[in-house]
Amino acid sequence: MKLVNSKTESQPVKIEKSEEDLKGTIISVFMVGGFIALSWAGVYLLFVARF
Amino acid sequence: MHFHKFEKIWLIVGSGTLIVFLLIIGINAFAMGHTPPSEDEILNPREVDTTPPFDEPGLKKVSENEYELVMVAQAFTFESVKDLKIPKGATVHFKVTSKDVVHGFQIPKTNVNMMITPGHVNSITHTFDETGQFLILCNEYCGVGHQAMGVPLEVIE
Repeated sequence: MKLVNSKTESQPVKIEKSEEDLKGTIISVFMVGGFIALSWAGVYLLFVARF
Repeated sequence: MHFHKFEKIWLIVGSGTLIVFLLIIGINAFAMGHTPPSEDEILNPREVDTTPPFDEPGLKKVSENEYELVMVAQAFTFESVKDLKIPKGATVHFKVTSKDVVHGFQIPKTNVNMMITPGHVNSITHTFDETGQFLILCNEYCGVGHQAMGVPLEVIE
């Protein structure tokens, strides 16, 4: 059985640099983040107001 | 390792938020003494009636405009306190325990809200800055008479 020499047979793979479009993702992330931050601030202000 | 620019932004913002939240909790706990209501004072729930301060429940004046309100919760009543009248501006230290099951202890429209766990001294402090009728109620389902478990509290001039 002949062993395959990977060093000689594999070709260097060229990685193509392509920036994915994450604009929609960042908007969604900040919508969720904003909701969490606003809810937290609302509860905190209610707590302080009733102190 | 390659990060997309947007990924960096939301990772920084997310981590930053987490740090801010944890800092606020830390400052509350260590600098301002905000502790859970049951702390670590314990007692034998079978000997509530003979264990101070629960052997003599009621409202006690500690100092000028400062009171201690000792209460025993039991299905379905906040035993031994009635006609609760507190002067406006008074700071009240509530000390409550349960003889049987877990009860709730809440005064709506204030920050007073805790669980009353048997075997623990559950304490919370509140300053009543406004006059009016308040209600101490059980907000933890404790049995068939749960809805009747409450006691009025009046803040007077």
